[in-house]
Amino acid sequence: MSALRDAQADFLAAILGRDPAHAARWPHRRLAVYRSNARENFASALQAAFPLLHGLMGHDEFRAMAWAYQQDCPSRSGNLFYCGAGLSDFLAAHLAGTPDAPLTDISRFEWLIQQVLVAPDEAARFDFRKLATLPEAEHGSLRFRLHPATRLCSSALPLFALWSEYQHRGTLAGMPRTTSDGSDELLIRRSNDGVELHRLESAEFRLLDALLRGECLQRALEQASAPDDTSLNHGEVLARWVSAGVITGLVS
Amino acid sequence: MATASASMTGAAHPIPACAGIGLRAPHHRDFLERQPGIPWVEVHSENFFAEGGRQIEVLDAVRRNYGISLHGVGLSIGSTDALSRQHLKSLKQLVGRVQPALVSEHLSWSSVDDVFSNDLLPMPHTGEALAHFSTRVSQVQDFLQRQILIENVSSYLRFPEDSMTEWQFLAELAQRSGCGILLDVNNVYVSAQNHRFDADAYIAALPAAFIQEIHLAGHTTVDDDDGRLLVDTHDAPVADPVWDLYRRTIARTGPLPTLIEWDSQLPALDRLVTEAQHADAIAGVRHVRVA
Repeated sequence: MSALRDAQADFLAAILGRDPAHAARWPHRRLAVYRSNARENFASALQAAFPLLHGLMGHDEFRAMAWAYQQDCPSRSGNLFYCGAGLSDFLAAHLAGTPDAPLTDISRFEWLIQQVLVAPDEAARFDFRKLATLPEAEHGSLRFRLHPATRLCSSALPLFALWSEYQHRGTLAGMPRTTSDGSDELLIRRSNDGVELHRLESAEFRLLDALLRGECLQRALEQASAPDDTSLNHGEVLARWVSAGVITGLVS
Repeated sequence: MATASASMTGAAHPIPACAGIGLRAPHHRDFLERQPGIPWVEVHSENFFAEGGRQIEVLDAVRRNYGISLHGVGLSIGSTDALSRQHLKSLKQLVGRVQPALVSEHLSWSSVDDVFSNDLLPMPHTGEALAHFSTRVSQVQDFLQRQILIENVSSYLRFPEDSMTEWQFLAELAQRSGCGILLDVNNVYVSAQNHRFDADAYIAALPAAFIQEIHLAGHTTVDDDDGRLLVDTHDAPVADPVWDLYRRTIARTGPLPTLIEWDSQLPALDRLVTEAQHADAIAGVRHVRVA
């Protein structure tokens, strides 16, 4: 296999690599077609998955970022969907301490949306009969299953407002500022034609976050509780998300 | 004018020997609402590897009334890296769900040491590469439990190691592996112009019985170091010389399932349907879809 592998390795180095010695072996303009395809395919896939980030950075800056990211974290799959998986970590490493640091949260939020879009379908099959037969003393040990196309996202940025603005206008006014009233705590779920966002109170967010991580109800309630969240009516919260199809069943 | 008959059976909907279109996401809603009068569509397999969600729902809806061809762009069959089991499993799952009439991949590679260019890179045309590619096609066919078609790609460079022509490589590949040939007439034209070989000789050298599908697409001309270079961009109408080559191709092979590919700067859906109708007119076929 050596000759074929060597030929391909040499060619790929000329396409993706920074060493001009590799590229010099090939006719410049013809090689440029492959170099351009590699960059544009990667950047276009990122742009499709991160429209808010693209809108906030602007096209040229986004493309430059995408190519820098490609150099650091080249695609590891034949399916370009996965090329965005490491973008948040890349931005966190490069933007920490800069005015653009909030972009890391934007990328994390948008990657969660991508995960929601491709997650498995699952019909709700909440077993209310089983729940009714359980002694109340055992309710604390229950574990709930959330729909696979559900994610939670907490950020100091007004993600809900940004997302809504982009949905309505197709553009964004500018770099977001942190919210004045604390973090934006969101539930992201799949809708008929995309995703929908729900803003949550802090205690509700913590409760669902714990359940999503597989904690039992008692432990989740402990994690949700805080001095300022004494009003949490967990029965009402659970019933609402069961009704909405976000909580789809009990983990047996 | 003949009426095309179904040429591919065993699928949820067969693909007749007439023209279909590449169905891309910006056209999904329009396509489902208007149900254009073409018999089949082709989609990129990887765009439907999701385990659930809207994309899969769209494909399920389309396949109720149309023949489906799954066209992969990411399997990287020609690479010396191991075939991705996850990619193959996703493809097999999709094939099982969609029951496509045709499944195709490319005569190309994309990765070394699991670093991908995510492009369709040309194979060296050597004996070693042919043996490797044939083995890999057989592995894919065994895994999927069905025949696949392999499409020739446009190329802009040749490897100095080449010891045979691309058409010799492709014909021998089909003979050895039992794969079918997806003949991209635009790609033949583009590569013929770029490497100065006879496009008709390329097509004449392929065993006609192996050619099961044809692709047509637009290309772009750019400056080259020593003249002009054609680039397979899929962002324009099929060029007149490509229509002419298509006409000569089907004069030899007879009418075949023929796809209009348009991926960038997408026009309205009607424009694609018009291109498909033009292909049918050249082939002397017509399709009447019964709703």
